[in-house]
Amino acid sequence: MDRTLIEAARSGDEEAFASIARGSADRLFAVAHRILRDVGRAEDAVQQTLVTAWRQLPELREVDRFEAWIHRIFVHACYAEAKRARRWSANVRMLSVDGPSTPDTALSVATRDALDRGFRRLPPNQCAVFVLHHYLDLPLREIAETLGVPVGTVKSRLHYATESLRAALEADARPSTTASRERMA
Amino acid sequence: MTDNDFDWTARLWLQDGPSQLADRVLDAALDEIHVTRQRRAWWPARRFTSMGNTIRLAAGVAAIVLVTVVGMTLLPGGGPGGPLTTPAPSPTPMPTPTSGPASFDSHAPGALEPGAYALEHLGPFRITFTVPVGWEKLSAPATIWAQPDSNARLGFMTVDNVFIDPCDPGRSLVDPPVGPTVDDLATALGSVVGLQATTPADFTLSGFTAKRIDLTVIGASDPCADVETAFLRGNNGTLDVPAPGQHEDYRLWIVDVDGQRTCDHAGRESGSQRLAAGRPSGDLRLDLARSDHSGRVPQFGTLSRDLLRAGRY
Repeated sequence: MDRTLIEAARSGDEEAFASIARGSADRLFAVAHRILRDVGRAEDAVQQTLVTAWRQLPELREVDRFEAWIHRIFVHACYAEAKRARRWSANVRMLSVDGPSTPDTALSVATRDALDRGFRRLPPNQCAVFVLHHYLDLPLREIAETLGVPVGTVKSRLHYATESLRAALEADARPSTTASRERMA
Repeated sequence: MTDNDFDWTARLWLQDGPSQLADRVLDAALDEIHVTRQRRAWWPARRFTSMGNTIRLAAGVAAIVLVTVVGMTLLPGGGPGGPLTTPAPSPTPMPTPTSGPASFDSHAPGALEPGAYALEHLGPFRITFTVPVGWEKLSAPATIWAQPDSNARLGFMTVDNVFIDPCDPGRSLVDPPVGPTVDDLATALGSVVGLQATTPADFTLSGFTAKRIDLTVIGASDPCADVETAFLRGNNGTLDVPAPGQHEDYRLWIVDVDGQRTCDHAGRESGSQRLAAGRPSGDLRLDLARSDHSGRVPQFGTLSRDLLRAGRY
């Protein structure tokens, strides 16, 4: 990220911040969607992140830490969205249109569905760690710094998320395996 | 499924999904930013460089006073005690806490749910406070919250020492360090270069004896313009508090929480002591009590949010 832009935005330059926002928005949205599994909520999380970042930017003392700083704001925005989603989960919602997605030829529909279902059952903090690690390829230490938690906590969250998703995949695979065995018998 | 198989599957699954934010969403965010005022940097944490244990210990020993700061940006034409330039808030319901206060220290930055919170990180002291709707925790690693409409900010800290000149990038501290009493700090604040301090006024906050001081910049221009400033160092050397700038009015309550007189006072009285009149529905309550008060009934102080806005508290 361009230091000059960050410094200008920190001093109140809206155009500079708009440039930063344009450069970050797609990436934040992509990560938010992976964490929240919902386009509308991901959009809300990104909007909230950008507005909060703008308001609090003067408090950022080290420009070099901008990425970690905005990721932390962003993850908290995702937590808030996830919390709101749980609170309103009883309400009827319109189905969101996820837009164009990369055709997935390598994973079966059953595998994707199993992961989707397993992921939705995870607590938001495990979702965030899982996505930051497997989607953004952030090292655990950097995730810990971003989230403001010890590395051990990150490891623990990643472990539980992985185990839950593995269990979801295995549970999904079991009936089909049985069925194929029956077919072979 | 091996670990590698799982990682491969998970990564492939995560690749599937939208990765472009709709323009309308970004435009809406930028529109909101256009009408959103930035916060001035406040109470940034300082970074330890070569501070040895000896110095840290010395700083900790001096940290026996508690300071509450309200920084308020007044609109042009206002000033300390000047006209109220922000609209009065609409009455907001003050919830009645049904359980113990939530931890403020572990709360994420952002909006605070109305209710009671407790600060635990100031050594042996605990501060509880109740906020109505409209207050936030800032992201700075300190105990600060704000009412965005009025830009009033409020925080707690223990004070180690005072900087001689807030503009000095070398950050020279008063030497020898400010003494441990409320009077010591009140006197030292009166000698900070470039700042005008009012005569310390005796005050009582939640039953604790205190001194109240207003700080403003001397002169019509900001002597530290475009320079990071600091006038207080606190929280065992982890916190530097910027000096007030132009159009800002700092009000400090220096509270004695370590003297015998405080303990006697807290022990004798109980119940509620109203410090400033205001609509009960719009009050910010501060409840100061020792965390080890041995069953004594803590006292309550109430600061009206209206009065915070108007600078009359």
